[in-house]
Amino acid sequence: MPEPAQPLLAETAAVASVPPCLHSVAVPAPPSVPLPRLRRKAVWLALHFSSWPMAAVLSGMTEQHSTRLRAQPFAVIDTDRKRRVLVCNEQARARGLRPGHSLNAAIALCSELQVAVRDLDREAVLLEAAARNCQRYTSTVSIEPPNELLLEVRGSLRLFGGVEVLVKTVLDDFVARGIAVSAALAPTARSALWLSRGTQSLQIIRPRALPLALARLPVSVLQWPQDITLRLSRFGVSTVGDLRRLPRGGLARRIGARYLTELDAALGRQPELRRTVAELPSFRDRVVLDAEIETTGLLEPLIATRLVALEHFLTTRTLALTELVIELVHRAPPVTRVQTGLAIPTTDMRHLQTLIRERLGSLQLPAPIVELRMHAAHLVPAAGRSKQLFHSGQDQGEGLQQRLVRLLETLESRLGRQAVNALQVVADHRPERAQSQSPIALAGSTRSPSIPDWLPQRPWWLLREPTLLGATLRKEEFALLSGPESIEAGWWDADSCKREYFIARARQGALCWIFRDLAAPGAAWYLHGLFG
Amino acid sequence: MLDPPALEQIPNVWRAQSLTLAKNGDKNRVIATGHHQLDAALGGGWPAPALIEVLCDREGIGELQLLRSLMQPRAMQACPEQRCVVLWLNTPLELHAMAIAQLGLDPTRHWCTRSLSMVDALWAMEQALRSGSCALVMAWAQHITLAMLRRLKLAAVANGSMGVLFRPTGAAAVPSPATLRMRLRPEKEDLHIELLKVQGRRPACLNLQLQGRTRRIPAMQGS
Repeated sequence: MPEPAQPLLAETAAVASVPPCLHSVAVPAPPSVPLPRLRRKAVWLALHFSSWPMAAVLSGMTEQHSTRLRAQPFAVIDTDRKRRVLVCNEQARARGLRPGHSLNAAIALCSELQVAVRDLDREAVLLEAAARNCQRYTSTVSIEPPNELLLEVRGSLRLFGGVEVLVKTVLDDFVARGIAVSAALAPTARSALWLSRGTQSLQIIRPRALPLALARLPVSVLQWPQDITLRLSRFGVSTVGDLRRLPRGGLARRIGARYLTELDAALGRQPELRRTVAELPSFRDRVVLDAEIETTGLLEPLIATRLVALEHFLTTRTLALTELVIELVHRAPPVTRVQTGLAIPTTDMRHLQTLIRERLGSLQLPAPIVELRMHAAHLVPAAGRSKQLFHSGQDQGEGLQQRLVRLLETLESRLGRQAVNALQVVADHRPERAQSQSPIALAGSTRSPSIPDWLPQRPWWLLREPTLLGATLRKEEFALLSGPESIEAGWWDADSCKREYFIARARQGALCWIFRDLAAPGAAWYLHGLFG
Repeated sequence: MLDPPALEQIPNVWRAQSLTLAKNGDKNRVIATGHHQLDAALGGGWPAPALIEVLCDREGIGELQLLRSLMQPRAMQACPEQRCVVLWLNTPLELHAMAIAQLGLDPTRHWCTRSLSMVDALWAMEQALRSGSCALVMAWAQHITLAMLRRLKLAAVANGSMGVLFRPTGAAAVPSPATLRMRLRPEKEDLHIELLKVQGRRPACLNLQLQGRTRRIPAMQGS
């Protein structure tokens, strides 16, 4: 078989000798003969997700909603003017829908089509999350926007038990989540990308077979701009092989030098620099205990010493902590997890220690502890704060907001989540429905419904259930001061009320809010609130 | 025979009342109660920072109306920012957000917990007083030890917080380190306040007319 690269090289040499023509394009220097060997053999696994826009849209929905959408014709459309279909599911495909149809055409084909617009931000976030997930297999993971990942797996092949097993493990992750993926293994990153776009089945290309495998690929997989692809088709170039047969200099002039560089990179004649996904900083610590610990009280000093190490770790890297998981390992498998979450990132170990102490205080140990593990996953860059030059005892530099957050965290660590609630006014005439207790929102203030001025004063205290006072009101028990205020509401739902409210002074001196229930047959009197 | 001069005219006589006033002058502040009689009896207003003990046996006699001025957002000397969170611990009944909003306060800044154990409620109160981030911390407690009261007072005074502890009137006989102790009792239309202990001042009794507890509806139709 003739080496296909040779004619190309010969042509290039000839072009270099002719005088520069009108379009002065810097022709990339022809790779030296013989081909430069890569410093280290690389194996690139490219993952191509053809239905990524759909996966991103579905991931942003509730479980119930996405299951419902999966069961009927569903398509994700582009954000451009034509609103072209990007991806559609099997049901839509069965109705004749294909990617590239305009929205109007799609609806004409399938009237009950469910449509969602692609979410580019979510796609990017999801792709980065997938890349982080793939860092389990190799440390070199590179993102190729919008929907591809590249993994350099040369060093992982033996660990995972060979190419087939590794690729299967990687792909199973995505298949289990219902994400369509095609994959290719090749000696260079770019060729792996191109190959993965070309086929549905897994392609494993050895270095020697690479030029031939690339030659068969259609030009469309290169994803070059539309006008370049169009120009190439006018030359009669339909595959990569055709492309390589063209004279190098002429090709560079006609389509641009950078595309030649891409071609060289795919063939491994030129190195290609790729940006890899940086590892997220995290902290792990493990203490195997000399003697088993049976009470959490003994655990505290031990954790305190490890927190010093954590603090050192954080300070040297200018990081702050958002969550700390402490795992208490027993002799038998179930591990006790103590999770301490923080509302705002902190570097203050004293505060963290307080929170951990409260958690441990309410913990029932099922068995003695033999090992302690600490893991801080989500570390974020710490916000720098100036310390005072002269130590004044109190840490006064701390803002009020931060102190409130800490107070809330401390309370929740002992009393449980949602133990502390904020009051909120709800726009409803029925007193028992006119308020709610909602989780505390520290950032920003929620607008409460405005209360009209003419509304009579409401009592501070409200009884959860109105107390029955009797069919008639005894004059010696209650002296009516003002009223009645009629409240008639809720006829639109099951909990309707028709009442007349009075303010009355009870014999013992308390100011009461009482009402007569006009909806009930006897029009009995009830006590509903107290003016504190 | 010379008339004995009035006490105010004799120089260099130290008066017990001046204790709070002197403290108020330089370091501590008072918060006006909104009632002249009470202000006079307390020497200018609620002492701040302080742990205040309110002894009353039933709700609805005006005990919250009395403390209204403490619930206003305010800055205290420890930090210049406006503190506006009011923490309600172990409230005996449910608070009505509408009433709070009608008084011009922001209900979302009123945080409450219900049905905590006594130990938890007092622990939470101590934490809140110590953090110095709340305008007011209120707790309802039945039984409380002297040591715990001391802790609460220390937490309040050392961190510039205001704490109010509601206790049954039976606790009046037991001494307490609180800055201010008062027993509340309704008397006809008024609120009878017995100041059992005012740090640096004399105990006193007064009847307070609480205005504006309820806005009267003018038309009083027969019922």
